[in-house]
Amino acid sequence: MVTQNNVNASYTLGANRELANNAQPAFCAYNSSTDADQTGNGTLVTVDFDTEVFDQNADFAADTFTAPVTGRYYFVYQLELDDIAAANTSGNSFIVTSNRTFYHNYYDYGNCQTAAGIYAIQGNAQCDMDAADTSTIQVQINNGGADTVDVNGHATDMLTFYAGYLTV
Amino acid sequence: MVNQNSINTNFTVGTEQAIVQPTQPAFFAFAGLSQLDVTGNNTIYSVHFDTEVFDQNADYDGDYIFYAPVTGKYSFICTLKMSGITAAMNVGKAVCKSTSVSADYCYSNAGCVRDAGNFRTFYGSITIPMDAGDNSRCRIQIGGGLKVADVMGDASISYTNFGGMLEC
Amino acid sequence: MTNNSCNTYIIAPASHEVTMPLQPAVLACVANDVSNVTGDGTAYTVICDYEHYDQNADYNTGTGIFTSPLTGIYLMFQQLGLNVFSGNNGYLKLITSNRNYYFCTRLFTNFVAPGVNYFSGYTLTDLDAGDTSTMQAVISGGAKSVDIKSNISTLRTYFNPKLVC
Repeated sequence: MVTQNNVNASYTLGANRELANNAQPAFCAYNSSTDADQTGNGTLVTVDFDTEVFDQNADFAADTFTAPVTGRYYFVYQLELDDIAAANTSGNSFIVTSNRTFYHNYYDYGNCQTAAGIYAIQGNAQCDMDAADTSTIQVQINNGGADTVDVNGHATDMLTFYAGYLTV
Repeated sequence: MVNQNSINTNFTVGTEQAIVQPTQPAFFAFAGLSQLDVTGNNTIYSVHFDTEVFDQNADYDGDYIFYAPVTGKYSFICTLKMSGITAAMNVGKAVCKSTSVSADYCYSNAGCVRDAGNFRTFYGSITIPMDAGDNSRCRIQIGGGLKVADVMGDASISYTNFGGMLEC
Repeated sequence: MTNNSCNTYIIAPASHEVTMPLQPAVLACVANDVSNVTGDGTAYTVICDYEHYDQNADYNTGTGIFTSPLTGIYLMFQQLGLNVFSGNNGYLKLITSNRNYYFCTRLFTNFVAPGVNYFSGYTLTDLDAGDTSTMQAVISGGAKSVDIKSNISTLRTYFNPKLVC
């Protein structure tokens, strides 16, 4: 299980005894292009992360992470929201797992946006997951009268992303 | 030290080579009840997270304090959903307070960015050094107004939570 | 992996907690306030000149650069404490060899508090051996009068990467 080359190795041991675990479930995915008009009038939307940066153990697909084993997982995400209006006076974002939902970012979004209508939010959590449990990211912005809030994306820059790994 | 049953196991290795550490110190707890009128007038309040989701190695006291069982580097994550925020509350922060280090999160004008329901989320993460026996807790301090800001809790929804683990 | 303390990279005592004292992990902060670093669009590279710890000596307190010793996945926590002014907007930027991360993009007009506002960013990133990471404060909308706020005992501006797998 422990070798000093990279062939079928769980651990890679560095020259100074650093340990990297190439088989440990870990992923990072991002939104490569803007998804327009996703929320703003109370619509709850599952966020799109269409491009993988890495996906050790291939547990991420279709915006969803599926736990391969029972354990504790750390998740982090950022959503760059755009076209926010002054009327969007509430909203929040979520990590939705099979066992429980984690709530983040209760703000007056209309009061926080840049002149261009942008506001970036983050959330993270340490989650208990059973094997085959799933995790996604959702966002809901309210009071705008219409769903005009976009979720920004970019071909190479990490504006909207979702990442996680098996910790213990 | 490494075997495939779960008796006194440091590491459990799955068939896909994912490694779980079921005895590694790691905990996650949330506030099952709201805590009323705790700050707003600059009072520093230690938030109670009375509902444990998991507590590997039993290092969290079930109320608000984590005790480091060994010397090492520990990661902590907290999310605090506050309610009863008023316009007068022009400053606020969350604090990860340990025996040797204090880390402030989300220091900002709480009243200005509260949402339409007078909620505001504070959050933060950090990895800090702890000696064996050191303790850590999560605090909230909001000022500028009266002592009417509440910590939101719920028996089944993880609005306000605190988690951590021994990283290395 | 040994039970003595010579070059030990995994320590597992009888109570089963596992520590890895040689695993790359850094907590570095800015020791004292730094004045007038951004506000006019300047991309200011934050140099955390005080280390609470730097297992494996991968962070340079003179340049603010973290150099990954081993290809792997790194968990990156970073935070800026800034005094911002009405009209300021901007973000915290993490620059890695493979890609850039833009955190906390927002307007700061209504965040003004007595002196300081904090902006945090977290991510998992893939770094190859030898890749570098630094963080920047990029604030616009005013004069170059935004300061970095921090001290050693109360962590406000810090860089906190570690190798996780």
